[in-house]
Order: sequence, then structure tokens, then C-alpha cells
Amino acid sequence: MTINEFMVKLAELIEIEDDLSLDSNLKDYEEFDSMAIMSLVAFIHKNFGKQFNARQLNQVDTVESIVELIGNDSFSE
Amino acid sequence: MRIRSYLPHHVLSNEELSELFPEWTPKKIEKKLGVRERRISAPDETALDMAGKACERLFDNFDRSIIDFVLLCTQSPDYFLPTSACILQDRLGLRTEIGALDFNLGCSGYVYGLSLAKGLLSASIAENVLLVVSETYSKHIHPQDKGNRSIFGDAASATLISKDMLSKIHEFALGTDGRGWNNLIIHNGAMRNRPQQKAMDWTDENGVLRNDDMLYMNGPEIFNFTIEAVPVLINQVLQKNKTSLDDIDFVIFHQANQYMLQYLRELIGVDENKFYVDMAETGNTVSATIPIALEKCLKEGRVKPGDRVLLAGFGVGYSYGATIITI
Repeated sequence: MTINEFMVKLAELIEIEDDLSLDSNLKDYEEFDSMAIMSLVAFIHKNFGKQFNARQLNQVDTVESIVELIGNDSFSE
Repeated sequence: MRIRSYLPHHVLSNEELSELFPEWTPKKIEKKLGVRERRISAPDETALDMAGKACERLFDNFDRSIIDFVLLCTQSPDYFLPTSACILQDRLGLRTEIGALDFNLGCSGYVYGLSLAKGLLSASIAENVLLVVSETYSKHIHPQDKGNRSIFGDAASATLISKDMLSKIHEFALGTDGRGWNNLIIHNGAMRNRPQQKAMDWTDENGVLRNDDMLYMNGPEIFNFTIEAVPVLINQVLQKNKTSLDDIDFVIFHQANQYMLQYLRELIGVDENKFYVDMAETGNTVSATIPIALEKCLKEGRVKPGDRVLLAGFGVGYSYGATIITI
């Protein structure tokens, strides 16, 4: 999955209509609630085989910070 | 298997929740959680009251004097003491030469109750165990906590487990991981934090309103726990019973929320046609979801005599357990 594909999926997951960029701050969206975080946990587990604890996820704000958490090298070019 | 459940009268619909939390549309709640409405106990109706009502349904056209042990699972007792099961024995007019006890578990409670009942029957301590689960999480949820108000509903359920069923309750896999004790918790009210005065609301690092007198659930962390623990639990219970998912006719997991259930189903590889997901009218009723599901499946013929059904409960504690029963 490329970072661009991930951003499209992420917007679908959180159910927001805006196009996300690496700078988009998810905490600006009230849709980014605990249900959205749960969906994100499942999505990352399914697609990247990784799990993050709640503290790590709480520190997420921008799209870039999620990409860094998952690891840049987990994404294809 | 004789099971009767009780749901309180008051219905809390998604529309009603959406009026309180406009950003939370009825469609979104149903899509994410799989819940359309949930039942909420009346202010003066406790888990013990609801337990009594479920048992009275069970005793309709039935000789209650055969009951010789009462197991009551609740985390919302009427009093610190006495034991709610003792009050229940009196209220139901059961014989006095019987055993009765409460046990404090949440979403794993029904499976643990079956394991205790099996032990009592196997040891010939009892012949007809009344297993009752009853929960009123709604009484612990902050009025502004839209997530938990959307997920949880109140309910009670009563099951008769008789000696002739002993060969139909198969092997168990049980699990406990207390490291997650503070991810689903009511901090105040018992002995560690005695109530002094009403706790103040506070806001956590995610901007979530919290109050230590009320129920707190760290949803993402609970989700992490289930995706780690439940697939292992299912493998263990299949191994202990020397069987495979192909030989299981139906699978009923604790109805936590639809999203989690579907994810677990995919992860474990359970065929959609034999996997129960139905919490639209009740929500997550904690220890009561599994018997409510069983009662419904029996009534609708989704499970038939001779079917092998895998049951799994998991949650607060963390506590988890699974077994296989033959209907």
C-alpha cells in the first residue's frame, strides 16, 4: 500500500469527506473518536500486521504521525 | 436447554441518542456498532430485580422446587452485603436447602457460569443449577458518554442446567489477564476509593469527558486485547475438544460490538453463515449477550438439538473463556 492509498483508506475509515494530506491533523475532526481509533487499530492490524497501544495512538495527531508510527518502510513507493 | 431472558421496558433508540449528540447520526451508530436500540433499566430497577424477572419467566409452567443451586453473575449487586443470590432465593421462593452465591464477572460471565455449573453437577453437589446473569451498566455511564451509552444495554437471563446436560457441556478454555484491569473500570464506590463526595468531571488527553464515579472503557485497548486473546482462546478450546471449526455447527461470541465481531470472525476464519451477530435491539448486555443469543437461536431454530455450538466470552478483567456445548 502506498502512502496515498493509505490516506484515501484512512478518510474512508474515519468517515470524513475531505482529502487528507500528510499535514492533516486528525484531532481537528470530531469524527476521529474512539470508534474511529478502533477501526484504525483493526485496519493497521489487518494490513500491516502491527498493533499499537492506546498511549501510542493517543499521541497520533497528523496523518504523517500515523505513517511514522506504522513505519515508513511498511509502505510501497 | 431452558433459557429465558428479561429486557427492561425503556427503549433508548439511536434517534434519541442522535438528538443528544448531533454529530452521532443514527446511521453511523448502527453501521459501526450494529445497535439500533438498547433497553435501559428503570431508575428503581436493579440487576437483582431483573434477575428475578428472568427467573420468573423461566419458572412459567415449571416446578421451581427442583432448583438446588443458584449462581448469580453480576457486577451491580444491590448491596455490598448480603449476597444478591441469597435475596434472589428468598424472592423466588426457592427451597432453603440449596446453595447460592454471586460471582463478579462481566462479558465472560456466562461461560464461567457454565464451567461452575458443570463442576457442581460433576461433583454431585447439585442436580439442577439455576445460572442467572444480570447487568445494568447504564446506571454507571455518564450521561455525556455517547460511546458507552450507544454500546451498552441492560438485560438479565436465566438458564437451567440439569444433571442430564452434563454430557453436553464439553471442555473449557479459560483465561485471565489482570494487566488490563484498569481499561474497563468504575474507579470509585468500592473499598479502594470510598465515595466521599460526588467526583468532578475531568477531560483526558483525548478531550474525552471522564468521571471516576462512572464507567470508563478504553475501547482501543480492549480491542487490542481481544484481537490478541480471542483467536488463541478459540484454538485452545478446539484443541481441548479435539475438534475443528468445520465440525462446529454454530458460533456465538459475546456480542461486544458488530465491528469487533466481524473483525474477529475474519481473523479466526469462521464461516459467516454460522456466526451469530445480532445486537440491533439489545446492544452489548455484558454477561447476558450469550444466553440472549442462545435463547433466540433456539426459538428461531437457528440451532437444533444435536448441534455443537461454540461459546466465547471476553472482556472486563481481562477475563475470557470459551466452551463447546451440544444442544
